[in-house]
Amino acid sequence: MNTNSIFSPDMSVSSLLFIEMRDITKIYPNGVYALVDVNFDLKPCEVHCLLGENGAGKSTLMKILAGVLKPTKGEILINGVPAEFDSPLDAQKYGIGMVHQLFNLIDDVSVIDNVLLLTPLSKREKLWLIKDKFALDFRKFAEEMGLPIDPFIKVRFLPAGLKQRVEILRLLYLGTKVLIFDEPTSMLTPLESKELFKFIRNVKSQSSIVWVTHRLNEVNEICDRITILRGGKVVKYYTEEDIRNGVELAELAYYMVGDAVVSYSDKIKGDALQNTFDKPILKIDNVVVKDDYNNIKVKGINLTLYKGEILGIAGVSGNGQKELVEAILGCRSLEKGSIIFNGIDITLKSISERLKMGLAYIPADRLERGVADGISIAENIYAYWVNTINRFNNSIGILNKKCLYDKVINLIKEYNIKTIDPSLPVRILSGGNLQKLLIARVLQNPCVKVVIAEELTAGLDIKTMQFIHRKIIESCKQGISFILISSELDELLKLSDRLAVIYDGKITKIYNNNVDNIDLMELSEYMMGIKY
Amino acid sequence: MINFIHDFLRAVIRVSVPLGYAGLGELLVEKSGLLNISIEGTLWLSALFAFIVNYYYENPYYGILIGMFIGIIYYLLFGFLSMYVGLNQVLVGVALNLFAYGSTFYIYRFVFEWRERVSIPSIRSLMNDIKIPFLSEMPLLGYIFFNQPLIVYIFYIVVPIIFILLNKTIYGLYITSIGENPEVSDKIGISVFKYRLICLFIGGAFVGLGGSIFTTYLSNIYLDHMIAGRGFIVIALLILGSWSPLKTIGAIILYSFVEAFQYRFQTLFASIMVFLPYQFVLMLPYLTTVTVLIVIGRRIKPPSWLGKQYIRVK
Amino acid sequence: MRSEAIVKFIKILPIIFGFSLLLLLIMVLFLLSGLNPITSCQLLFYYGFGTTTYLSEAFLRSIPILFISLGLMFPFMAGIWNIGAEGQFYVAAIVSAAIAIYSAWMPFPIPLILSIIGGCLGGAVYALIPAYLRVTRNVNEIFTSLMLNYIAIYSVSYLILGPLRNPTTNFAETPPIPGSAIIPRIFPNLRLNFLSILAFILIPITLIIINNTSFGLSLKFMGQNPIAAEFIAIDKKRIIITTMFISGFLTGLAAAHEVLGVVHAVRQGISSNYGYISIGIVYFGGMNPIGIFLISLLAAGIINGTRLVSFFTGIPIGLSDMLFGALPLLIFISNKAVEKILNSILIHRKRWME
Repeated sequence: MNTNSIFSPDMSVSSLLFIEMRDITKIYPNGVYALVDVNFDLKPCEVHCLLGENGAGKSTLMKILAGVLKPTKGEILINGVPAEFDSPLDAQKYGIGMVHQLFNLIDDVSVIDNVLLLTPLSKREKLWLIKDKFALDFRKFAEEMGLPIDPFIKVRFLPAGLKQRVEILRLLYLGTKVLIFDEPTSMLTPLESKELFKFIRNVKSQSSIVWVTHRLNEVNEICDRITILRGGKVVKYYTEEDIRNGVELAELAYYMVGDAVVSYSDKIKGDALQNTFDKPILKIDNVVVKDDYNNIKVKGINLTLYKGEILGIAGVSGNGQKELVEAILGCRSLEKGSIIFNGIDITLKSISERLKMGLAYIPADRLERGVADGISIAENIYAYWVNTINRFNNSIGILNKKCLYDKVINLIKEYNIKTIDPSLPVRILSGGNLQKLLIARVLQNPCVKVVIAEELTAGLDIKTMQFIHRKIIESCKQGISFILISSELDELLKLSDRLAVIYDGKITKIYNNNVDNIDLMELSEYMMGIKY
Repeated sequence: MINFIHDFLRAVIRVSVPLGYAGLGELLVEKSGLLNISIEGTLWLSALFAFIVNYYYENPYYGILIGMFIGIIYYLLFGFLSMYVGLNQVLVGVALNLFAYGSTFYIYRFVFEWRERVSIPSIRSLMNDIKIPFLSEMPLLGYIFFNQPLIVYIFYIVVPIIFILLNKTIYGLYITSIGENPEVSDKIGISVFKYRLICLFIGGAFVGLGGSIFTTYLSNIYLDHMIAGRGFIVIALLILGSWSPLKTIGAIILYSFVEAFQYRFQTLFASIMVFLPYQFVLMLPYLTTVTVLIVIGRRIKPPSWLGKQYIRVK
Repeated sequence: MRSEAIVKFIKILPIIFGFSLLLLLIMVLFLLSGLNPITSCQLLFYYGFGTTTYLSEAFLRSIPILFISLGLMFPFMAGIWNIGAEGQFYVAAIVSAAIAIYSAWMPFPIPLILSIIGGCLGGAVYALIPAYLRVTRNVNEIFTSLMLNYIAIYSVSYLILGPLRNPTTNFAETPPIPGSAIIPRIFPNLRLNFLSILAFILIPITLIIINNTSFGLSLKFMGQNPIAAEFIAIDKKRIIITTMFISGFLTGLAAAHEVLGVVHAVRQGISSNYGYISIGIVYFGGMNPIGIFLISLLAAGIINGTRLVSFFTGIPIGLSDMLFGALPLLIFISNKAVEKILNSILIHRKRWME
């Protein structure tokens, strides 16, 4: 193993570290409390899991440990000695490294090239690189870690799981002693995850690992200790002995999700009205879809959406929702199965054809997928309408600007989008107002039949959220159907007529009625993959 | 007949060296992710200035030096406009080319015709062929390879150096990774700006050097269109050579074969022009590139970020 | 609507800025050539625009640049880099000349009409080659259009030295365009021809298409955010093909104008880099037809002016070419400067509103 590490300057100190984070508090400039008095420690040769939902503060805590952020209060001690990190480089000097979700690997060069980019080299080695020597050394190291890999293969050809392990290997090879994993299995199939766990067990002996996740089933595979965060605070801590005695996953789920009570008085749907939906408008038939890394991400999903209903899809992100949505929209091809929209098989139709037929999309990625930020607010709306509303399509193409403009003014007023003038470029809109625009232009499109909405009310204040919810219900009464993908359980429970749970590319449960009275514990078990 | 072949092959080498220098220069720059179309304009300017300096100082080597200087300046200007000001690389390249076309046209006349000359300015001081004592005696190869001007011998040394630089040193790896993915490279600590600057400097020097050879060795007069699109030919040959130094030089030599052939057989061509017009010859590298792009376009792999804007996000 | 006025003013700003820089550069160059910058500039403007004849010459020379630039607006706004205008010009030129020569026996105005249409279609078809490659094989259009330029230039060179050579003079040019295919002049003593006034139709048409049709809107959107464009139901493939066709068509029109209306033959250098210059002009004119028209006219007048100034004062010609090359650079720089200033203003405004 390469001992010329740039990461640990002081080799006289025991090379394995004992890390303690005491009373860490982090308050963001806008007043949000991300972490409050959090204690977390890490022993050599262990895997310490950090559990929590999205937004619980796990990433923030780890960013502090990795030197990316500084705590507002509290300190970090390494082997009993206080340490201050001004930048990630400082943390790296101690041997603390983070394995990101998006690997810092260059796709079109080989594995060994990627390693060499970070390896400290002598002057001589810099000018005459004997790759073979390093390759052999690295290969030996990799095999010791249980990962035989051809160092000369280009990273592009490796599946996501292998890429990740190469990234880990690289860090270890260069002397990293503390590995922080942030949602490491989000890009992996269960099979690859199993391989990763095996790998981690091998690697444990050489380092300490923080495993940040919200997937409960992983906990039993590799954790030595567990800390659960919720709302920026530590709500539960399990010692090694607790783990040895066995921990109920249901208990973990409970601590993570909490006993949030949905105020059912808010439930605005289900006015005792019909709630019988009998006309299928979208049929997703045994659909199989691959992700960007050529893994099968959607493994045979069957879903039927009825006219006028809201179908919620609950699930932790990374379980295939993105790929499913893209398959329905048409920007991702199907490996197997078919999609039937309004009686027509659209499996082979292009995305613009589907959108013209009445499919609509409200993206989570607002700037990238929703608007062109250099052109005006009004034009962003026009562009969508002229291409999808059939009335406009049939004319020669000359725009009736006055008519469009009036409609836009109405839209802005109705949805209370804060802007002085719709001729201004759309980039001046705040996040919330932008979201309102995206929702409004879809809902105001008379040709829309099915709306696929991702993270519908993310970033909106309560009043606006309620307004949007009311608008959605109105649209339903007029026969528009919705597929809501959200990580906000609250919203899904309030609005959905039916709720499906997606886990690992399959629909594991569909609640067909009484969405108001779903057992939250059971729901979180389905979402975490404990029940299926 | 043997002599004829000897002369021909020797000419091939002569013709390929200026393109070779230019090719290596642009290769370095493109490897780091910058698509500099103004290689053409750079060649024009360096040829002109080399001519001017050579004319007044009667020393071709000064011409080479000024050529390199011009190349460096023009490439650094490209770097400034595309990296610092943030303009689109292709558009900057087109604009710099136009400026070069116009400037050479004007500056040449400004320097020479201002005095209302009668005859075309010409140079007597071109580079001499140097015979390397022992090696040039060798049967075939000696005459072809070792009976050339100094600049060609330097080229023989430069090629392996560039090859080693790109393939055997860590700096070559840095450059390649910057061209493939500057975002990740910056994140892991490789300074994209620094290395691109170095590539522009060295690359510009090479391109300028290549351009200056035209007026310090290949020709004793300066013609407005003497470069005639060779910069773009180099770009085409880079594509054909898959951005690898040896393959690119190979493509350049192949092209030089055809060009040297065309020079020798100008008169022959004139009479059988209907059969194989010389313009077709000139077109060949472009046609080949387009055909290759069509046929195996998907498999030709430029550096992934070639031509793409990269702005470092703080 | 006051904001709309502000937005329009901001679009003109770079043009004003760039033009001032250009004037400065001209004066510096005059100074370096040993002339009095002030009087030389006055002379320049006189020769460029001073009399009816000179003004009409400026207008005449601006036409090819104008037409090509108007055409280039379409692919550029959609984010398609058509660098092949030069090659498209050459192809269109030779096609219209060939048609004119071989259909000379037909009565006027049939050969004329055929040649014009032939030229336009020739340019359009040649532009479709990089478009097709982009749509079907995702081949980068920068490389293909660039390579095709040289293929076109050399092919034309072969043709005018070979099969289409002028048998009388034996120069590198086609035989003169027969009378039945020449575009008639409008006024007896000016060189303007009927195709020239097409400019006054094309400019408003382009304006309407860009600003008032769904096609124009889709173009703008696609250029700004090609990813989101898909999710707005914009058919990218159709836009690529259509914009390149339009661009090639208008370039062909420019070529027909030159060949059939001005030069009356196809010679070496029928296009003095019009295809490349237009790329700069499109940006200089702020991607706006009116701006482009003004700038082409200005540029053409300046070229003519400097040529005449050179002629009468004895400084070498080529000054205008040098200027012309500097133009796009100046404009890009001033555009970027204005953009950066605008961005910082907008960011401040956004913060203030939240």
